[in-house]
Amino acid sequence: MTPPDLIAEVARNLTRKKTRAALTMAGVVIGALAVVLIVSLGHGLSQFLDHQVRALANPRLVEAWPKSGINPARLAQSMVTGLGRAPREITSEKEDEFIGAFQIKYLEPAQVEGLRRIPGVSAVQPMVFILARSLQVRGDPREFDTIVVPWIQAGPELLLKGRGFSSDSAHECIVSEAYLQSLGLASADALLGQTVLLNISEHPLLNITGQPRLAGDTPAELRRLFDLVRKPPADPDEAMLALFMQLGEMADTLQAFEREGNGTDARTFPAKVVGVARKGLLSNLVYVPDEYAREMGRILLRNPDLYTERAFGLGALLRVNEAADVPAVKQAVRALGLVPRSVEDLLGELHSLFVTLQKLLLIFGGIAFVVAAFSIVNTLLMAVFERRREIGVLQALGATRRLVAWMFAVEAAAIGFLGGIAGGCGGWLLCSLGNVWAAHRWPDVLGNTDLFLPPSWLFGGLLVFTTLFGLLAGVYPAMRAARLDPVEALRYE
Amino acid sequence: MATIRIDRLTRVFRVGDSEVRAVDNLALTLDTGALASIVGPSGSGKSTLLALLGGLDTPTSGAITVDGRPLHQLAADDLAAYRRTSVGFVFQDFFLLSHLTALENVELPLKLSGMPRAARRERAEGLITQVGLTQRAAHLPRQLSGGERQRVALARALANQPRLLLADEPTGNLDVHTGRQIADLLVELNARQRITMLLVTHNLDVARRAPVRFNMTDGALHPAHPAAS
Ligand SMILES: Nc1ncnc2c1ncn2[C@@H]1O[C@H](COP(=O)(O)OP(=O)(O)OP(=O)(O)O)[C@@H](O)[C@H]1O
Ligand SMILES: [Mg+2]
Repeated sequence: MTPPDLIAEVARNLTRKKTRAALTMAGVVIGALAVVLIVSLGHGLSQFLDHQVRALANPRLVEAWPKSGINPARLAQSMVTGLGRAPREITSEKEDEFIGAFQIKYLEPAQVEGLRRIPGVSAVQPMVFILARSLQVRGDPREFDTIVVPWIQAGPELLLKGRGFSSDSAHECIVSEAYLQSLGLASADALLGQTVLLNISEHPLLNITGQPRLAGDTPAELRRLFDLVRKPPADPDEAMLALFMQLGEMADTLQAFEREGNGTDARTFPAKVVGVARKGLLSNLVYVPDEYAREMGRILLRNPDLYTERAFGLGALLRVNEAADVPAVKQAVRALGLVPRSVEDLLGELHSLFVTLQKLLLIFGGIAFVVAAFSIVNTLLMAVFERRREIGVLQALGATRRLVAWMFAVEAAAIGFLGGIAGGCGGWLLCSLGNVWAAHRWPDVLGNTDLFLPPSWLFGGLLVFTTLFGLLAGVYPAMRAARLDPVEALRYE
Repeated sequence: MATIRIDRLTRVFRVGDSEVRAVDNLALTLDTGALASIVGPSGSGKSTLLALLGGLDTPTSGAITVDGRPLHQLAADDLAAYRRTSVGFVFQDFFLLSHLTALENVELPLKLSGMPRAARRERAEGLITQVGLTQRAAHLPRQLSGGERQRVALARALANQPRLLLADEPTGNLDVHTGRQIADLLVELNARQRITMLLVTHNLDVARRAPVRFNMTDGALHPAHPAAS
């Protein structure tokens, strides 16, 4: 029998019991539908985040972290991979993989020096951590939530309007265009040139660490007092006087501190708006010059030495001249015994997170396919039984056992194929509906990107999969059909 | 030269501990173009013999040669090819495929041989005409009378121009008149196309139409007594 004849024969057999064929296909359709939705959603979200991150992040930036100590990527991983596992033992080599056990270690000066000497690196800065309380426009009492980002982390196509900073420590900022909406301003021009106030508080956690807080000048005054005691003026009277005056000054400082109360120290950083940035997924971003950012970070963590050579910080940010050099720079960072991390790594982590999520969700699709497999096997075994005399006739007319097997295997494959088409089309339709709904629901966030984005290979891959799946489910019934004894089948009962 | 040569043919069925010798040490020689009938009691092994001759079953022992082909030595695929090209079957119950029209049923063996669509359609129409069913070509089996169905089955058996036609009680389900018509058709075919025919029947009238006649008892063939005919 020629392949076209075989396919025509299978098509005819399928249409003999239309309802049964449709019901058998239902499992495949549901499975295919689930696969299309899950894969498209995962791909859409992943693409969306990819675009967002690429738009926001600087591709010429490499982070350098100590091997042990805090490492955000590893901590995030440990939280995700800890799911459903028995608790792991914390050993001294691995303690930095646990969110409650890691030790904070600053990068050592020698390491920072090594980073600075890497060819192709134009700047090495500490990784600054800022939590701002709010953003205000000077003269406007309203406070808006904000995330302050050092300029070094800004992506390349960020500036929508205005200019960059005049210097590393200029009191300037570039705000996201989303603030125009919050502030009720019609255009970016209305914001350019205004001064915004960035309110940074000491981190509230510092207040429950139990350490008494010293007023800003106290340590310096104590030092002066000790100097006086160690090397007093030769004249005892003069020495006494100096001592009393120093003590008096300290008393004033402490008194002033008493009046201000023992709350958190807060500071307001004024910054002139010199630019407006394109808004991304995070709409509340404010970029500030790098040194200005470090100043804010020192307030937040109440450490005047932080982000200086004395206490460089937990990690470093390297600005690479050419994006093409990033891999080489990462290699060099690794050679220094540090762990490098670039935008690509971040994206890789995001994608692998989505892949994991997709895999979990695909289990549901898998369940549908398992049910579908039983349904196909069941239907075809029934068909083999019903058509056993027919099979005998075909064999008497010269059909080989191989041909009989193929007839049933191809019928199963056809069920898979048609189910794949129906499920694929249905899934595509649901995806389109989902996109319309999502665009309606989150117009600002999504813009013109699709939430459900079927990858280009999806429909082809789906059809190949469902067809092979059907074929596989048909193997057992096909073998049963091929094993039928024609003499037995043709005995009259 | 003989078409069929059977020597010490035995087919034993085993059911549990018991053994049925359906065909037992049987010998037969038939010339090309012969028309032979076999009568015998139920269970004497007639159908089993036809199945062995048609390559649907394989013997337990003995030799069976058709047109020089040693069926007892052929592999499954070669037996299928033999059935496809050299043998036609006609059964008491017609065994037409119920979802195919008369014409499509006749086309089926041609399809299995891989004949192109147009050619096989033409040949099937010719065969349908030959058995006198031109008006019934597009009917489904259930829309045909018993006699018409057996004509379709006969046309199907002849589709691949077999050298050997095996008919197992072809008139068993037909009334006397219709049975006679089918028998006429078979005799005419044998005379015109020199197809070797083996006709198993319970109908003595039909059996008498064959020039060569056998009785089958306990798995063995005996030439019929001239007195009995
Ligand atoms: N597959 C089988 N398994 C077991 N025994 C079988 C099988 N096929 C046939 N037989 C036995 O072989 C013997 C011959 O059967 P066969 O069908 O050839 O008889 P028959 O002469 O055609 O009878 P009838 O006139 O009733 O059709 C019977 O006893 C039958 O029970
Ligand atoms: Mg019989």
